[in-house]
Amino acid sequence: MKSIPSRLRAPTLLTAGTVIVLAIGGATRGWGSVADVAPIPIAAIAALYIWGGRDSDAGALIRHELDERQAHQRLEVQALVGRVLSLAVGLAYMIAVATKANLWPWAILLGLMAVAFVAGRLIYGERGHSETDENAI
Amino acid sequence: MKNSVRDQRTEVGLTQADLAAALGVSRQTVISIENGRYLPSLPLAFRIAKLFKVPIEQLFNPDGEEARQ
Repeated sequence: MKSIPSRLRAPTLLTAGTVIVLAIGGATRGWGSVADVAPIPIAAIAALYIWGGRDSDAGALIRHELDERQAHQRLEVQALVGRVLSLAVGLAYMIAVATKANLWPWAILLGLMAVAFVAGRLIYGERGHSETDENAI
Repeated sequence: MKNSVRDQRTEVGLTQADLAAALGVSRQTVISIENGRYLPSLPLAFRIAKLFKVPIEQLFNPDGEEARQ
């Protein structure tokens, strides 16, 4: 990935992913359905390329060239996304219970969230500020 | 937290882009620091102080208004 110019990395990844998904979709559902959805990822690739060239926070994010403020900003956005998704999964689980639908997909997601939380504590816990110092007076 | 980064920068005749390049951060980050919207990390604050050759407490005043993170 280092050999690809930073501006092209995200569009290249998205292009590769799009080609794979469209190839699978075309082979299984017919090429007509591919033509219907293809403009969306193509527009997304073009948008990533254009925004990636801008001298802005969004451009730095797309190019993966973040300084400390932008990295902090990304962390906060990711935390918000995580909170929203956690709430959505919890809500979906309750709806599945109420409607007697399949629970296992939501149970797996809830389990993954719990595992990610514990892993996060183990990996990043030492870097935090809330740990008590045993030598503290 | 108030700071005098803008004053120091203009005093030595640097643009925001020059300062950003010297510090290895984006121009947007320099703007945010100067406007008090972002509090830099300690390493970055020390880099700024070293660049302007002033004590860090001369750059950042803790008695000023709280900056938004």
